[in-house]
Amino acid sequence: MTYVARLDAALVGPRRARRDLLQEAADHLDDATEALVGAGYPEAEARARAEADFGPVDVVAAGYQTTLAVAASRRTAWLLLAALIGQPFLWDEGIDLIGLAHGSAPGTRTYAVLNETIEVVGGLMLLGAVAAVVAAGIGNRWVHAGRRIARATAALTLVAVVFLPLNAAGLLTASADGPAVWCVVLVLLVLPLLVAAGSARHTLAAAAPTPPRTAGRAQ
Amino acid sequence: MKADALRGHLDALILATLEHSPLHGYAIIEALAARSGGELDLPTGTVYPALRRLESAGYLRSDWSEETGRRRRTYTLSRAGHKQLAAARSEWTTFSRVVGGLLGGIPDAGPGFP
Repeated sequence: MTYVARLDAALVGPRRARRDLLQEAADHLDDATEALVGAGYPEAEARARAEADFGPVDVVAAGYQTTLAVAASRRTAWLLLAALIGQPFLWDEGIDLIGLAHGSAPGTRTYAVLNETIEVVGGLMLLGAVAAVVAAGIGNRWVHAGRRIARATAALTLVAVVFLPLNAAGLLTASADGPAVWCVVLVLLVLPLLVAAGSARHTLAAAAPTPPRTAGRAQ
Repeated sequence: MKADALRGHLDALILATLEHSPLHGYAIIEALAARSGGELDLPTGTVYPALRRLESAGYLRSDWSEETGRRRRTYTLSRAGHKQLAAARSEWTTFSRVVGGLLGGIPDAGPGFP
């Protein structure tokens, strides 16, 4: 098994980002080997030295894995943001789909509480999605994004995926809306959140902590 | 010199290697080794995550290009990267002047970095 294949086997994360990292590693090893052969080393020894200089697979993979976790969390954060950013416009201001469905909001206390909750919590989650996008990108100027930030992004997404549809279902039940409104909620809220949830699941896998390095572990 | 001290400045060192022209990963690492006189002794594979992080931060841009029959990811310093490099240089000059003054015998240690 080649060095790059072992590195590949040690990594979990977005396919394109992983392929780019591995291609770059392979190019580096080829360049380093060529340079060492040019300096007089036999081909096999040159390759072995190039791989040794590149670093033990577990050490290199740990850094690459963090890069992949951040790439996965960036994608998740954008998907969450895309799922949430239009919601206030769809349901309250602008199009006001709920208003269109039943004319005026029911005057019950349950409805008022659920409506307030979804506005406040949904707003906070929208802010969280913006923060996650920033953290995985330009935020690296101030704080290095790592696996903790990636896990926090995934956790926020999964909370949103559970909480917001349940809250929305409560609102629809309280206002006795018909199946048409339920379908609209399914398409405009639940499905985009499910896409984000799939990405969050991959992010959690990519951001899992690397087991501590053990002495004598195979490279 | 302790390699750890240099590693703490890895981001600025990388930006400095790209100040005058775009380079691909291997060339960046070669430049780092040459400019540190071989003192920057770290697994070369660990430089690539730092390059990606600097790219995420907007300090670098990267593109795949064809070079001598091989596809290579080439990194270019962005405008924000130039500003960050200037800030790192200024910080280093101040730091080295203060520490040089405190330790004595070094009237003006900067601006030799990076």
